[in-house]
Amino acid sequence: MFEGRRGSVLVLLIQLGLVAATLALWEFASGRFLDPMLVSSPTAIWRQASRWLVRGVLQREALATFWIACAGILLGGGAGLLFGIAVGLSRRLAALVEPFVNAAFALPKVALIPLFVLWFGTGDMQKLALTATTTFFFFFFSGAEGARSVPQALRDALALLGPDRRQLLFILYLPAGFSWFLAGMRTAVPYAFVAVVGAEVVSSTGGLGALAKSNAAAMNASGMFAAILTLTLLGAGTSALVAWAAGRSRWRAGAAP
Amino acid sequence: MTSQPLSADLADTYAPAVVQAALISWVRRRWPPIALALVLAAIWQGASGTLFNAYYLSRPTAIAAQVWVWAVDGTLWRHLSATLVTTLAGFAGAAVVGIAAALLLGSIRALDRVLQPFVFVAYSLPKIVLAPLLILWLGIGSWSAIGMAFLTGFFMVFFNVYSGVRAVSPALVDTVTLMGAGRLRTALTVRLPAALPFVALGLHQGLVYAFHGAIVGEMTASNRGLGYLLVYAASDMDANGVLAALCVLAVLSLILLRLLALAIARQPGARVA
Amino acid sequence: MIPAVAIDSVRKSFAGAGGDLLALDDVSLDVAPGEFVSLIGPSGCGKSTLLNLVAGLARPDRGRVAFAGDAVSGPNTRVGYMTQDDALLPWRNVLDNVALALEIRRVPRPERIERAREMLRLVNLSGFERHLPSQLSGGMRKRVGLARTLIHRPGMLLLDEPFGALDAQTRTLIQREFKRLVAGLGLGVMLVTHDLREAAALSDRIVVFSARPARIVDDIAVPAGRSPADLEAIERLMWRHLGGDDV
Repeated sequence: MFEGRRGSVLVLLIQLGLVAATLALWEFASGRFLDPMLVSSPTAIWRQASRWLVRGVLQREALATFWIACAGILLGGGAGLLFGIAVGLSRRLAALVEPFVNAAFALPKVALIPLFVLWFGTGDMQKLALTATTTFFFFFFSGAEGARSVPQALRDALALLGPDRRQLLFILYLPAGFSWFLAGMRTAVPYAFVAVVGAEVVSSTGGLGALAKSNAAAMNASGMFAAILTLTLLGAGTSALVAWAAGRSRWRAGAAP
Repeated sequence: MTSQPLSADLADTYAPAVVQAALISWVRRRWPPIALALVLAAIWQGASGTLFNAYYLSRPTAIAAQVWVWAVDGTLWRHLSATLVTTLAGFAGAAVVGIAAALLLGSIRALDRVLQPFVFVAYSLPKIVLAPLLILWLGIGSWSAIGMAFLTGFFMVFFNVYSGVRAVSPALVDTVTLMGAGRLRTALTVRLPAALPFVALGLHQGLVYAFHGAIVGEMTASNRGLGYLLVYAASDMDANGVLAALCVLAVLSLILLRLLALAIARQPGARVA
Repeated sequence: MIPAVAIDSVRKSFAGAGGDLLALDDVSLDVAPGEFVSLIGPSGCGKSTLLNLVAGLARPDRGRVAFAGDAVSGPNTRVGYMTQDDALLPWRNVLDNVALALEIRRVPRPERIERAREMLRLVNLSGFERHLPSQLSGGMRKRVGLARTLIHRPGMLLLDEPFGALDAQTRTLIQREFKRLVAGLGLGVMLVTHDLREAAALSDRIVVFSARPARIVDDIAVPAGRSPADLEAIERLMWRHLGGDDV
């Protein structure tokens, strides 16, 4: 039904139509059937967002959320990947360490927010700590899995060429590690945002999460929705970007050798 | 295998000697991490107050004492049961609505491409940002927490079951349709059974996420539950209390995951996360 | 004349789930330089293990393995090794994959690029230097693997069902090319295969193994002429051996 070029256009039109219809319904119902204080309306949200854009509020908070997510991914990702690769390469280390990692993974990371606030105070540090902790696990699993899955045939073939340790690291493990890094990225990005926003909502410190919360507290539904929508776009946009980049890269982990 | 009476089988499997042997072999296999844990705990106990400020990390004995106090005066049970109720209530709703929605939307082939971007966006949204929304609509209290558990659980159940329903072989569906089955019957007799492994996975993940959502909900929008206990202790600057609550939470999480893993293992053909 | 490979009364077992598995039991085999030997036998009987011993990727529990007169200890850098897996680095293009052996031997870049190009010409893949492995067909990846294995001029090739993952047509073509290449370079080959036809068509000599623990059951010399009648006789002989009496 949706084949080919015409089909794609048709799909897009239907999607736009759905969005338009939802917005229209929302606008209509607000004030008539639904309490505008609770649900606001598309026009009110737009007004609020525009005001914020002009004053730079939205950009500032979005940037605050975004840069912590990035920093957290790099920090947690780097540590997680290195640790994961080490565990993947050494069965003994794996047996020793993996139970702890799995146990730690079971705990909802947001529960750590109060602890981090007590340790680091309310500010960017606790947000960074939480994001890094959350993303750590995804890269850890990615790295361990990746290190284990370097095909034995590849390792053997390389062994027969007689490389020294340094060559092995640079020729095989680091490049492979990079492709595992990308694989970790795809799962980690949404969770990184969850972590930052979680920290913002719970501890009310800057960023889009805190913005949503403070507006909700002030009964300003438009503001709250505007913040939520911006966050949705930011998160979805980043995920899409990472997915696109990873797909095009020659560093795809598991690309058929 | 000859058919023995069930009780004889169980007696054989769980005879004290067998259980004991199993336990011993379990410990023998896992002793390095257990030993490591004990060593770390000992270091923690000793270093606290001497090598680092006792406030930030407290010490095992102080934490255990706090948990004990809570157990005795009922705080622990009150909040623990609140969390469990919230989780289960949210999960129940998430499971029912999630499966129904996934069945409905997944059965209509045409909808798949249309819904793709919306599903993607919904997945990328940190559900926690909906917490202010819940507070606005449902106020501070258990309902917000249940709502949060429902939302986070719902998406997990929905995505997994949806994938499962979409993965059903079209050939199979066509065959049944040619036999005269209508939409509902097809859904119930072909799509749902075929999607069962995905349903199992979806329920598994859904419960875990509902649990997470409950905690988040309690931390931000409720006045009961382990999440609330965490925040309450923090607002009192009681690091020991926070750590004690975290320990309880950690143990609860582990038990939950272990139970789920066992349940999944018993299911033939279930996919494991 | 010093044999290229001298395997002397080797025994090799592995730790398995239920105890030790004996893979090779008192196996002795000599391969002359330039000889093409096929090793055939039932699945899992230990032929691959033997190859790993010659490659130095494993050590025998008992007995000796020598390559060109010297005992094998540690990875044998004088042999080339190919398995079903292409073992190409997925993030490198074809040229860099082929030049890998030279890169490890620290040959300067201009020289290794030139030699890599030469190898690619030899396997009929000129023009594909900048491609990534994922962009090539199975047969082409095999040829890249071959180029990479040959570029550092090994004294012998060890092949473990290298063509197993290819479809029948590609396989026949590659076998023919392979035979031509190897004969032209005068390389010795030890080939482990399940394909009796392949063994008969390519080798000078076929060694038949029993089921695990592997013992040599027969050593068939393939007449140089290789008439259809010869090949048929040899195949029938192999079938008889593998028919079940030797289990």
